[in-house]
Amino acid sequence: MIDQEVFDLITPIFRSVMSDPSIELTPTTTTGEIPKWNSFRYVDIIMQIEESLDIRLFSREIDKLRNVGEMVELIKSKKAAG
Amino acid sequence: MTDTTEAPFYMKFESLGANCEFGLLQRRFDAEPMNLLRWPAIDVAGLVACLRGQFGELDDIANFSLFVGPHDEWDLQTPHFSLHLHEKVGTVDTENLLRSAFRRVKFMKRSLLENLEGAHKIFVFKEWQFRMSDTDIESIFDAVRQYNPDNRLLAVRLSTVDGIPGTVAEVAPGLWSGYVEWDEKIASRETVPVESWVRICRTVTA
Repeated sequence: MIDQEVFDLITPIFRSVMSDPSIELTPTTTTGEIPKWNSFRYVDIIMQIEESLDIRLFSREIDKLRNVGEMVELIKSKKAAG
Repeated sequence: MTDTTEAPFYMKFESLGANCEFGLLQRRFDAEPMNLLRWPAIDVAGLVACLRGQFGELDDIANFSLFVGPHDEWDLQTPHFSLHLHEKVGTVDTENLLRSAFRRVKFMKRSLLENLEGAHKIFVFKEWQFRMSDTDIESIFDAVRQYNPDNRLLAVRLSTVDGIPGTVAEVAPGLWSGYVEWDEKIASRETVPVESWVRICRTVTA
């Protein structure tokens, strides 16, 4: 997967979970820039990413993410690992 | 996902209860871990039962129910704790709400078990509407160590004449006992004794 494919997949998930169609994600986006962000919505986002991409994200990996760019890299590495 | 300098430090900890105080401290430093017991109220017996049973009760939606909590919003009730859902009564389909809450809790349970099995976190439990005995602390410590002998526990008590707020001592390898202050504003969760918590967390990780 290339970065844009991952962005195209996760952006609708973020918009749906946050009920905000105006959300635009960039590699440097952090939670502080997304209104209405909270840990419960983060759970919903991660669950939907796992289901959509058929991957498993571990707690320790998720905790280390500092921005959307790192999330994209993690997703790409999971897909590459099969 | 945050790039503030303090957040990674507070992500090293995972609250096991007894209420949301430590979760609020983490939020103060932009740390937003997806922890199962970050917000619910749970007592020692409930926590130990959950830990001993590997939170198996959370695998069956029949063990979940909704009830109306404060501010006319839904709360989720499980056998040993409840969780505020921030959904107004009358504005949501309760069956869908229950199903989505069940899935969310199962995910957070999976995350907690990963952290327990990997000894990834310093687990925190703080007394709230009850007082913890040494036996209580030992029973929680034994329960977290059943997952991994390297698990660490920070047990925090309300300050007394013997316990100065912000102080903490390692009472056994991997087990710390500390104190934070208590007043009406803290009791009502209007404020968090940040300075004491920071000193404790820094001491434990020194």
